[in-house]
Amino acid sequence: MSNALRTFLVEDSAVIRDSLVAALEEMAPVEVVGIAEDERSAVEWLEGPQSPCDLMIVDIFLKGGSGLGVLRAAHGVRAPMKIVVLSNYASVDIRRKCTELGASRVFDKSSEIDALIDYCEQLATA
Amino acid sequence: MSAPVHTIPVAKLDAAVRELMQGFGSSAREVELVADNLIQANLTGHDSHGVGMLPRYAHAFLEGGLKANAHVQTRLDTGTLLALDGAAGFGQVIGHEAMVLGIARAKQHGSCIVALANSHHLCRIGAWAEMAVAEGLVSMHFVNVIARPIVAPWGGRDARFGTNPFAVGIPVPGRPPVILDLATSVIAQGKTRVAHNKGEALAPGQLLDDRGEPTTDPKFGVVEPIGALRTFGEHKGFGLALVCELLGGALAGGLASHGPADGRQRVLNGMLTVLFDPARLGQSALYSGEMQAFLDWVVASPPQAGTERVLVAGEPERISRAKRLAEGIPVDATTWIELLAAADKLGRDPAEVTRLAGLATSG
Repeated sequence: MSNALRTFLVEDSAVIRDSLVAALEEMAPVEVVGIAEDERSAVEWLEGPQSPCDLMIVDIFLKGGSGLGVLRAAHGVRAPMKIVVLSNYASVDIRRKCTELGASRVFDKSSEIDALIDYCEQLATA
Repeated sequence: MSAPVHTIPVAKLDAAVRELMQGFGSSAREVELVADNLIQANLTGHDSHGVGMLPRYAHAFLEGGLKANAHVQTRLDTGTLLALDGAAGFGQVIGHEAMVLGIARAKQHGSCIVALANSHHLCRIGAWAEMAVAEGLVSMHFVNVIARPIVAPWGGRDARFGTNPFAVGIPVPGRPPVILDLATSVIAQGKTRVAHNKGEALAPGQLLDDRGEPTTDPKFGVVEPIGALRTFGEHKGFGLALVCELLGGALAGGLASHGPADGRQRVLNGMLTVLFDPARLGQSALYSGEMQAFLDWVVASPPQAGTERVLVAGEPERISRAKRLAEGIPVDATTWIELLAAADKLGRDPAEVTRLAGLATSG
């Protein structure tokens, strides 16, 4: 797909990650170019030499570290990428905190996968 | 683009759902009733009421709006009139217990009216009609929905009530029962999601956008800003929805819709059920013959182009059940991710749910 959104995914559950990659790539103009399952590897990727991605999808509660740390680290990256949060704990407080840290949107993992896919489609055509 | 679909054998999906259900702390009986009810909804082809409800239940449970291990409480008992309270328990349990009580009374006295208030989501109402006809009883169900309003009144621009279902079960001697089970919206909200995922437009007349104008874009039923579904049959469906709200909600002693959504994920149902024993009407021989004659007559109508034959209410569900029992239950990819996320949220391992469902796991 030539105009696919180059997407980096931070998610610590392997089965959820696999399902997400398959669904996103099938249903939205998305190409998953990298994955991380903890804060440290996500930050390393952000600070590494890889070509920048268009979209980063970040889980908040990770087995190692936190997605909030990933959001903070992303501030230092100059690439014009969008960052969205996909969390199982999308409370009002979490949503506010993520938005303050630069997340464009926050999606609930157990009820807003459709909205995430819709967002990817809109971003790809914007 | 269409959603990739997992087709999962019934026994494996059942095992996966039971694993997830452990996260509610439910009794073994509750796990069994909920899992069986949801899978039966999928088997009958009503995926909007199937296992995909569990993430919503998990939200509601964690918010405190759905109570595990609750049982029906009797508020009034005059023999043939029962007023029950569902205590926000799993509708699969509360509905089952209410029907057991009502069925026993209808068999004893010939009829019974059951007013059930404050149950959590009663799910597919046809299931309760099926339970009554299995005991030889006719049943009628008027149901309201306390959740975010999603259906507009005929002539109105915004959503003011739920999909307020109406169901009737009629046992027919010598042939399968008639099970009429319909939402009073022209389509279920789940159907807008299916169309949205497939990138298809809806037929005209089904949906209003967020400004109250007719639209065929299914996104107004799926993502913000949400519009409103329309009632089936124009003012007639609105009339039936109205009656369901008044009888199933207000009169059954529960809540009726008024005011904007409170943002909570719980789905409460009120249900007024009328049960009676047709054999006790005294004319059962005539009833049986006339019923058979009408059903034979009506299905003999020559089929229109694109229609194989005339089906009566309950038949599409029986056809789907046979097919899915043999072939497995399709679960679309977004529903599956949300189920795994719900399991995680309830403290159950998504990898174990995946393994029980027989789906590939990595690593």
